[in-house]
Amino acid sequence: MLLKRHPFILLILLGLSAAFGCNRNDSDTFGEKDISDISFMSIGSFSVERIADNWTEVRDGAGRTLVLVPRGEKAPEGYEPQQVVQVPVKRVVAYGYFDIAILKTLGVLEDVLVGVTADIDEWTIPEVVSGMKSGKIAFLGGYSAIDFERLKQQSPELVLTWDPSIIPMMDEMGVACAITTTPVAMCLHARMRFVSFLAPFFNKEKKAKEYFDRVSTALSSIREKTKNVAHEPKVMWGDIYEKRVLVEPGNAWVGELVGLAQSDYQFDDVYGKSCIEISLERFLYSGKDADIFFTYRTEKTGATSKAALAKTNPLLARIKPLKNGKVFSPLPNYVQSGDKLDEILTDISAIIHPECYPGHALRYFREVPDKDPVTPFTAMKRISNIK
Amino acid sequence: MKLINTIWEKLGSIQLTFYLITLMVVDLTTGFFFLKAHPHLFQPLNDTGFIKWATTYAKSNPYESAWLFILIFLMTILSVNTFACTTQRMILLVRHHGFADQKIRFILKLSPHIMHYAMLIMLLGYLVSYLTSQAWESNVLLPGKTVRLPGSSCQVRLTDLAIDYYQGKRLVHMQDRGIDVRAALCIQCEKGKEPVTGILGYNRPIGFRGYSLHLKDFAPKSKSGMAIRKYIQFTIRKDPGTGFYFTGMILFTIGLLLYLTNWLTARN
Amino acid sequence: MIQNSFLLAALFYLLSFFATLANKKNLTAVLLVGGLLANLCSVYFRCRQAWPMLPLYQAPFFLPLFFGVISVKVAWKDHATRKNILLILSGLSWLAAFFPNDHYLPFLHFKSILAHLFFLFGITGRAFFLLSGILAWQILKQRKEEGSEGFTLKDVRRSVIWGYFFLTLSIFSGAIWSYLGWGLPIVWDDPAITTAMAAWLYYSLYLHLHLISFTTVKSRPWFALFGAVWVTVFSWLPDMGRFMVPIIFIY
Repeated sequence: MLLKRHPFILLILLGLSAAFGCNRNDSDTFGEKDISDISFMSIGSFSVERIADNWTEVRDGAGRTLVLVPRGEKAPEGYEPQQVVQVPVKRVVAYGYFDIAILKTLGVLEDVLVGVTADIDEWTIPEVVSGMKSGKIAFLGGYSAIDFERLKQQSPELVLTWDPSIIPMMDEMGVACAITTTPVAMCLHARMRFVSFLAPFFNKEKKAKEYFDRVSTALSSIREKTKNVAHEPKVMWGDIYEKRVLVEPGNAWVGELVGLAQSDYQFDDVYGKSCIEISLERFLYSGKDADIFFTYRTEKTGATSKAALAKTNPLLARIKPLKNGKVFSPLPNYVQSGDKLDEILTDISAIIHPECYPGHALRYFREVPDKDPVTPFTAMKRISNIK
Repeated sequence: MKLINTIWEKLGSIQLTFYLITLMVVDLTTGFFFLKAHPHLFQPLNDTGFIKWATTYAKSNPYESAWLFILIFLMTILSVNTFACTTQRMILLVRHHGFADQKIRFILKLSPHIMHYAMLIMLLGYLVSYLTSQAWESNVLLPGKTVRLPGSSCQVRLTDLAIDYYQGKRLVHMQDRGIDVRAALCIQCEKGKEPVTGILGYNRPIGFRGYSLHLKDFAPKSKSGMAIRKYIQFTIRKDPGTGFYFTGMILFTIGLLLYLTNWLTARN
Repeated sequence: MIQNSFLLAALFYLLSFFATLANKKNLTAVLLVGGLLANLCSVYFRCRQAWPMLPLYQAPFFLPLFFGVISVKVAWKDHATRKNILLILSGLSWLAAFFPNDHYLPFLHFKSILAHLFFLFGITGRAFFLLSGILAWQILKQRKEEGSEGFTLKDVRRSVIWGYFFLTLSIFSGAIWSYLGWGLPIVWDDPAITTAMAAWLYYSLYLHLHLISFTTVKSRPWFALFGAVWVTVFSWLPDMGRFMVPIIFIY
């Protein structure tokens, strides 16, 4: 009777059931479609759209639009010359380690990479090292001191970068530029799918699908292995640098993964960009009962031991993982192994739940020891300090 | 004629208003959850324009974006309903109150109608904005360099970039970091003519011939640390709806103040 | 200092609620004033830590202060209303203390007078809507206790009108700020945009209820009560963080 008199009540109930009945999460539903079947795909802040049979429009991490046109064919109207990229791209300069790892995934690294912003001794990717040795890949200088003359000599057709300040110079040189970082951290799905953003530049969509399927299988395996764990450890990921506290937010892929691997990510309520700055109080609060701490620092940048970390910043010494928990630091190959994302995810899961991965040897992280091992040099230093 | 009158009256029905607003509240509540769960789906609405967004992001995620289309549908009917309802009442008001007597009272009684018409102007502004506005994201300028205003022959040049770095102790996280940015821009369309100059900063856009320039980012952010190139990153927009929605806002505020005055004086 | 002054405020609010339960009117007044002062201190320190930028996600800490101040006059009208106001005030402040989301650091877009106005008008509007809900609840209770004199629908309407006025100013300040800062009439990054729009539409409808034939006078308090609950929940949720026991209770 009531519903007959006021049909809007029924509509309200229907509306509310739609809202509250919606519990499908982002990564489960959003864009997980086969790229070959669809004309549009969004990948976090990136997107790929087939605007015609032979033209593809992509949106980069900064919201800029590029149009991919087969070599020798005419570009569609309405685009500036610097927005047009001839595909497959033959010469690429890349800033980010992850971008270069994805080029490896697509099987084009050795053919297309001509310039990088890290020197030879910083590389763990064999193809880059050999390319630099042979002179095919040039070191263009650190990102803040790029040698643009050298870059010009390398004649790139595309620059993959996170630094927007080079765009005016690239425009002048007539080189297309794609920003591969985003203002909001990449979620797990976007991290896995990023390969599909780069694939159309090289006509390697099939390789992208293979990679996505491989990482998806690893994720399923992690879900399966950790689903019945008795204990959910508390995990935090970040660091303190002088007065700045940086952490991985809950919407970042690592935050999502930690939650997915049956553990309690301490910053799952934090939303924003990767390495987001938060208050010191919050970091210390979350650290007071955390079990595992992933530091951004590598052994080279100070994470040699818990004692060394505490010495770098005494505030850090207050968090539980440094007192009686576990601290993990990335190995040098971690940032350059985006092509092995499945193995990295498995490594993280094995750190959180070692009981589910008996005998697993870590490949991308190392457990930070309590104290630095005593070497002849440190022993001498200690003695001289006592004196 | 009778049929037209009946339709006109039905369109202006306050009962219809009730149902529409109730449904919109439910729809917006639903939208809250979808926006929260899928921020990446809706963020491109900020710069792609509605039609482009609808044919790409929304089309490939119809379930997650349906609430927004329902909202637009309901809002369209509400606009027609508001126009019909308030016009009907305005006609009655004018008929029953001569302009000559009680002028102030009459103006105060107009206040709800001013608000209703203002709301329609604002909605028109949003409609124009989402259908016709254009945005060019992440334009970068280094000192001395130029960028062309899209669709024009005008060149924008960064003549100076002044960054004040915070030196106090109170804002711990801002120490030695840029707290005020002033980018001096010079816009020149024809050679030999006097260029237009302006200062661009956060929340301080520069407007020029229908374009507006909005600061998005700058560098170097910190006084200490690694040497980073000086640059600004900004968005260029062309939004013909701006005038409508700001006019609507001003009118609505006037109407609201008159309504409050009417209500307070009637109470006393 | 920021956390402790707010906890002190929450404690004062709770004690003033107990004092009113014990019918100690003067003690209630003293404790309430103490709570408001401590809350004011907390708000001052929070603003000081971010000024000239707007501190982020602070609404749960500001709302008890604003709600407390605008409710004082009404709270002293009768015992039952006072009890309800203090219960809500205390509940809001303890919820804020245990679910803080104030760990974000403000950035330069938030350095605008319009950002501050958007926030302060928004909080004031919400405080008035909350008060209208409490008054509506009192009216509904009065109906059961026939003969009792207290609040009328006019009181509820007054509160709604002021709430609507401030919410409108907040939305407009936000829109101008959004245009100046990002060049957009609406920034689609924040889900709170939908709840602000919904609250504005809901109370627009409330102000039209007297024109709608099938909504009786009796139904209006229910409308105000539902609105207050809805506004509080949906403008509150986005500003609340995960459950955290205040550090003072741990050490």
